Amino acid sequence: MSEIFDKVADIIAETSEIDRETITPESHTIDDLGIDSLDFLDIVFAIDKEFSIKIPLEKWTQEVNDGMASTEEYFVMKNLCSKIGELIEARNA
Amino acid sequence: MSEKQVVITGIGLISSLGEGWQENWSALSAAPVAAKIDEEACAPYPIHPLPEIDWSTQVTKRGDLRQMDGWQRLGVHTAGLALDDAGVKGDEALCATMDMIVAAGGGARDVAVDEAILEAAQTRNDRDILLNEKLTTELRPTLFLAQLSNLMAGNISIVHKVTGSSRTFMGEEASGIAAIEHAAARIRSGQSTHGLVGGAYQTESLDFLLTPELGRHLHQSPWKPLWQREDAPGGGLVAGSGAAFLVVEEREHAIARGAKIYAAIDQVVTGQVGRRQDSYAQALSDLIGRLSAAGKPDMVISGASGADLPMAAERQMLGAFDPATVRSFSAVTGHLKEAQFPFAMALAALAVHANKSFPVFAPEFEQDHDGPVASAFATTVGYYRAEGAARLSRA
Amino acid sequence: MPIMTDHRGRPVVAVTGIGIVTSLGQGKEDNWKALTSGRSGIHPIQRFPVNHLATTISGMVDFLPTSNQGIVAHTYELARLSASEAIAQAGLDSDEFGGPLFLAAPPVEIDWRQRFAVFDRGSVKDGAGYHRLLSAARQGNAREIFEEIQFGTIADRLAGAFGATGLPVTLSTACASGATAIQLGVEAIRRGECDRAISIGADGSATEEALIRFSLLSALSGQNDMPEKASKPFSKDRDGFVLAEGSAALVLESLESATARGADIVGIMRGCGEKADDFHRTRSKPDGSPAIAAVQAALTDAGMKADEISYINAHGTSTPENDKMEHLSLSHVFGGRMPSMPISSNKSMIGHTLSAAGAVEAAFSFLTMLNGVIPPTINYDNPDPAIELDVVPHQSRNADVASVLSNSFGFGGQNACLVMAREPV
Repeated sequence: MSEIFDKVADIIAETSEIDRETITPESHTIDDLGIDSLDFLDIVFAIDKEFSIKIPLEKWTQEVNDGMASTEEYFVMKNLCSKIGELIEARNA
Repeated sequence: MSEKQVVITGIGLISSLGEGWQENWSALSAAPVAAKIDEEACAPYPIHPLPEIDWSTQVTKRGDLRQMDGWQRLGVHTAGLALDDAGVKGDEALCATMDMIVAAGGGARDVAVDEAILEAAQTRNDRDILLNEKLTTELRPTLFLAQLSNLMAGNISIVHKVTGSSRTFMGEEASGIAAIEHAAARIRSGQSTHGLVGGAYQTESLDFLLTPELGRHLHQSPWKPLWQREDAPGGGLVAGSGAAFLVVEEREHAIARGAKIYAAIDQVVTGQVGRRQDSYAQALSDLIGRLSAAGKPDMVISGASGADLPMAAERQMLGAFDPATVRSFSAVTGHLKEAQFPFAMALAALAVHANKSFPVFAPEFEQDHDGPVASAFATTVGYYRAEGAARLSRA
Repeated sequence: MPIMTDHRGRPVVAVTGIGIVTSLGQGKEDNWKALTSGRSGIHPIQRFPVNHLATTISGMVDFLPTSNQGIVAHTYELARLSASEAIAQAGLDSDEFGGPLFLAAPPVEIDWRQRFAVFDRGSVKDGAGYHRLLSAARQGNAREIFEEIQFGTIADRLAGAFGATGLPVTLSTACASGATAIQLGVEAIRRGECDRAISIGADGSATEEALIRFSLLSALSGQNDMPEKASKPFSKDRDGFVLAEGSAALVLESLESATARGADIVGIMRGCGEKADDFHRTRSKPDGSPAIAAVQAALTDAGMKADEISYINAHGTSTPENDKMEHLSLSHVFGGRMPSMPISSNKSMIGHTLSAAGAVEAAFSFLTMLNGVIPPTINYDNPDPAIELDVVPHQSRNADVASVLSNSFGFGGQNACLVMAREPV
């Protein structure tokens, strides 16, 4: 888990010019870190490459827009990392 | 409607010779000009590479830089130099009412992704599906925006806050010619009071060289002087990286704000004369000759590209002028494509402003000159299509 | 004697000819019939395989012989067909138009079909990747492709075919390009440089790479199951635009010159307005101020007040962001009148024709005034309660429309608006 967090935090810091130290498991990527919408697309792309997965970003966004999920569920760092963990497991399964 | 006078009040330049008009001016004033030619990077094609540039001096946010391709950076940076030079950078009111016309090609592709697809296609007979597979997973999502033609202007708006209007013209050299023509015509008729106009071209990518080379227009190493390439291997064109942006302004508007004025743009002539017709050389001479109605200029800044196709006609057209007054800057900067005509305009304005000629750029064609320079022509003949020229004079 | 100059003493600019091609068909008659009967031109993609793609539908123009011949050939043909229709309606000589040409067109580049073709003609010993492409080029094995990848080719060919004068202009202001082409024509006539101009918006650039690029930016609708239902501007469940192709051409002419030669007047191009946004590459400034400024600039240029506008032809792309921002900006300009102001989106039926959209929608705006019929916004089954509008849902509506505002907004902070009217004053 912490390995995933570290890699994701590195990607975010590198892409979005965010101080690496300010990124914690509790950070909300949009509300707290203020990641730009376009940067976010590139971040997801980099995460996909790093872990050889495909994050279903559009499905997540749709669920949030439809009120089926809160933004925290997908976009707080620790939750994001655990979803990534699930995708990695699914890939390995 | 009485005609307004159009003047140039800001100049931003980058070429292999340096950053800013001052560095370019001093490099171009030293006889002989020490051209920077790289014959290795894109062999067998010689190019004039970009100088070292600290992008952060014009684009302060790293995030903005990251979202731009090199070509966009070059344009945004040079536009910033022109705005600085005109003293309008950071002037919110002036920038928010400034009209912008950018002459644009496009940004660089992800060459690594292209090459991986070309490689994989060798062993696949379902290339269409391979494309979908690779492009959906390998392309960085925002790369599209970094390549998109109108996003150079878009980034100038974001970085420099130029928001009066934003238009992007396309079409190789023609885009730069039409951009100057329209910016000047709008000011002359009172449709605009001040504008930013220019373009950029970056050549250090095999992707960019492929476009002219498909028509076999590129000159091959070893490098040869501009006017001596017709019998050498290749098509005569040596590309260079560079950019030119001008702040153009209605004269009264410039005077009212105490701006420094480089030169007035008296007249712009443009055309698209059929290259294949026998009368091309005559038609080209006639077009440029329209500027001579008000007399021969003290200097002709020629954007001759070196390309074989129009070279004979161009030689004939320039033959109407005293060889001591002709200077072909591509000889030392390389051909700047979309930025070619704006660059020619900038050099003409600088010569008029300094009342001084440049030393020869292409000794095989030009002669020394020491007279004053009160008027100058800037010319550009596209390597494949489009022609344009302007008359500038002391304002 | 009609008034020949406008409120600023400039020549009044009339439209004397219109031509349209979209996925709904070729020619304004077929297009208008389909558009006013609420028919969608959105259909499953046929041009290339859709394996791995998130979006498998589009509004491509698939009924022309050039549909499979690449961006330049297809865009040229779309432009040629609409220009030829417009010039014929204007009653002008089809090969001696005698005015400048302004073309809104997609940026062109070597496409994959061409890149593979060049690569195959290179030799393995020349290296891999781009070295092999360049070597094939150097040997002159792909010269016919050169002409196909020049940005200036389409306009040059059109100018030659129709006898346009001077150096033609090819421009891009992204999704506002078509409106900008019209603005350039209007300005040239107002400057007195010419009596007439032809403005064309054309886009035949729907390649797999174009689709994937927009898709990677999450800009496209993924509602593939019922293609004709996917473009649903102003609906709550809108999820992106539908990529489309098309073209429209307008012959612009000083009213004085048009009247003198006895031409039929289609309508008047009253005003153009633009304003760039410095907020973001793809998003609008949250307060909508640049779009508001563009609308206001168009009204000022037209010498009209907001309450003189009868109908709005919306940009209405069906992306969550655009429709929300368009509503916000228009509400600011039109105030309390906005909820009852008729506003419809042609894109609900033809999709987003990108570089052509501004011209296509201006052409439809003139047909709206001429016929007294407002085309509907289809697929408005699930209204977005946050944006209360009269979108002329589902079915066209008979209405006396004296003037139209048409909006065009694009990536890169582009905002361009046009005000059109039946009469010069």
